[in-house]
Amino acid sequence: MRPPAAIVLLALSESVLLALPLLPAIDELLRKRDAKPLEVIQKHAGDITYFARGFRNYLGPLLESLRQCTETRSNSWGRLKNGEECVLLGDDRQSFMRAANLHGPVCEWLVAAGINVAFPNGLNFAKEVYAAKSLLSGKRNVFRAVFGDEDVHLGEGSETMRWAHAGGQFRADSGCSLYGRVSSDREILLAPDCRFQRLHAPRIVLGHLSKNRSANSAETQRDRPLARRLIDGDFHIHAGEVISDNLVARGTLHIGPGARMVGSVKGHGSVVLEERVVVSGSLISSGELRIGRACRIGGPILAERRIEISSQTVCGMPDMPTTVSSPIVHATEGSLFHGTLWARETGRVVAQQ
Amino acid sequence: MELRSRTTRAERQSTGFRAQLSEMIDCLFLIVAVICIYTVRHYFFTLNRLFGFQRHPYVDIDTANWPNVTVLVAAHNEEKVITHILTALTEVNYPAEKLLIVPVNDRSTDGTKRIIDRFASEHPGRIHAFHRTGGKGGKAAALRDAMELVETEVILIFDADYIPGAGLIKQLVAPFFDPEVGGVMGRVVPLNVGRNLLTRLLDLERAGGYQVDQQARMNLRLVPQHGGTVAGVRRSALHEIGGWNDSSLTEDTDLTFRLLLAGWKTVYQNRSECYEEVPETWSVRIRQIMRWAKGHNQALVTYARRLLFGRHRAMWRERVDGFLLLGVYAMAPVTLLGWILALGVFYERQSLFDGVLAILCLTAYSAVGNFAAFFEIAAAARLDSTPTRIRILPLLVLGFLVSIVAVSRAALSQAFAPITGAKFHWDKTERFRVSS
Repeated sequence: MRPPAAIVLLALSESVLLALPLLPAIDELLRKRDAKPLEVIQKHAGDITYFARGFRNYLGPLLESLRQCTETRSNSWGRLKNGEECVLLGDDRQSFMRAANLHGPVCEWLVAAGINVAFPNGLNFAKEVYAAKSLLSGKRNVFRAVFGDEDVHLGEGSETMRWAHAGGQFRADSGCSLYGRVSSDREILLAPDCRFQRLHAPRIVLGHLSKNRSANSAETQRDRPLARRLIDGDFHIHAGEVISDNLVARGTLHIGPGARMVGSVKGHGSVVLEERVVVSGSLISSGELRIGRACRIGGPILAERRIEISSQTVCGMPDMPTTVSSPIVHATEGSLFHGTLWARETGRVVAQQ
Repeated sequence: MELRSRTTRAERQSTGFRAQLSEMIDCLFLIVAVICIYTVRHYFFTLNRLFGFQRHPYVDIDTANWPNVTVLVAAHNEEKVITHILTALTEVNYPAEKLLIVPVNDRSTDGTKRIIDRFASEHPGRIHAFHRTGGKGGKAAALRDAMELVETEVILIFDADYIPGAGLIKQLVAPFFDPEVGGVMGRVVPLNVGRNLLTRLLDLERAGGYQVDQQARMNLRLVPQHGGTVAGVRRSALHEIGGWNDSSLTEDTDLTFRLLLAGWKTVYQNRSECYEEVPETWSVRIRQIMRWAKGHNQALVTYARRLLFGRHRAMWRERVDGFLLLGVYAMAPVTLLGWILALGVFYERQSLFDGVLAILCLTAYSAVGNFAAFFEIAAAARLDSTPTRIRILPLLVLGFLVSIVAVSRAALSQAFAPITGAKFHWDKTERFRVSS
């Protein structure tokens, strides 16, 4: 081979070798298989009832048939657009097991009830359940998801796997496990030993509320900005003391009984509130947060590790709901929340000693 | 006699050359050491993002007594895009009575004023137009002037080419419930990804920068950077640090460090995503990155010493990370210098060791060092569940080379500005969207 030809050949083979690793890139550049903008959630905005409302709309085509069943006091079967089967309950004289043609503990079809419905113990619903009237579950029922236009009452030891929504009151007896989202347009009542993740309602009651609750309210933080007090290290606020600034402690923070914080409070370490402390603004801990008995918190409550809430404590107000959030939330029965109570990993209603 | 004199001169020259070479090698060592620090930083951030604990402390706040908010939309000749952002802002789920939208028309000569006025008349009380016809150029100067309309404690800032989603305002406001937070930054997501090679490369760069770099700094409680758009600032914090700095080319970097020095936190919200338009031509991209580099280096000169050694409220880890963050744009000319030195040492070697050392240095930081940034971007693509776009990654070398030259040019022109008399000026980023 002549030297010029050898050089050209060498250059060509080198170019091919160099270009080889770039082939997938060039292929993707030309074919644009993954060239769409990253999907950004533009619309639903994280609304807790997003899936529940979506399910209600999905059921829409069957609602007319359900109304007819209810009027004629009969049970029937329907089919949704995607071919999914649904049992329509309109006859309250017939048992659910018979109406749904069940011979075992697992109900594999979607259930829509136009009447007050009560389920037997130990049933497992593999598909969603809809109730136009009140729904009373048996003990140890397992629901994939539940939507009730009115009240929903889960029996002892029941579980919801994805979400539950009640237009009226949502009540869970002791030992229930509520995975995913639970919301109510009116009220959520959880008995002791219930486990939860994300709850949202104008009023969330854990256990029984004490009749002699103290009346001191967490007067909400005004819109005018407060001065900031930044403390390097640990900080202690004495009993009954009133702090009128926003407070940030870069260590642990201990707030004595009956102290009143007009602004917001944050601690880089653990934050401990003794009983009857009032915080008008937000309460934030980069570690653990322990809220004593009969405290009142007006703004959002966040802890990056864990929150413990004692009885008679009230978070948020009826006209100014708020968010309580942490990976782990342990709230003692007798505490009251207005807004969202969110345990990223696990939340538990602790029975009062 | 003459021979001895010549020999002595040659020996002296040789000794001088050796000393010069030794200095070059020392300098090369220093450069490699600095690059190693940045390499470790890149890997550390990426590994943290892949395997570490992820902090999103404010993302759960969905119910609250939401504060009054002013949204400033900086607009200089933005007729192509301003309609989209104003429409999007009127559709957000923030309580309408608590949200004031202020489009800041900064001396526009196109149809921006007309569009803004139309929106203001269609949404009285919700949109309050601010027209600026004179004064100093630049976004910071415009925002400084627009502050006369701001009465709320929380201020959000958007550039006009952004399109916020329905829940974005609440997400950006939520961190301000934390009394320590002075600034908030959301994630920027390119909208015009598929236009050409450049937009695809910028999409990858943005993913690496936000999905990995910013979030890792948030995870590690370091210094997430305020980006000046899809962002917020607390008015009392801004007031405390002296307001917008209109002499800065990158008011966002400037703000980040002034907040930090005053003990305010800037937090990053990775899930507060917002679409933006990235440059579609290389010339626009080069101008953009040169402005960023100059602004960043300006901040480096202004704050680096004070940040590291001064008496202020930043913690030690924030001092170190802040210093490294300040130096990111200075790394381009440093790397370039490293390449030149390594080649110089290789060809002027006095011993075999020098040459090998030079080649090792060159290879080490060209391969492993720079690969760290690629690794970061690949990790971001994985976290975003967009595995196919990783294939473009090797072509990022092109973007990297363009950036390194542009940033070095910016640094040089900045360094020689006192001699050449060149003045800093604001380069507006051209828009490519078809106006509606």
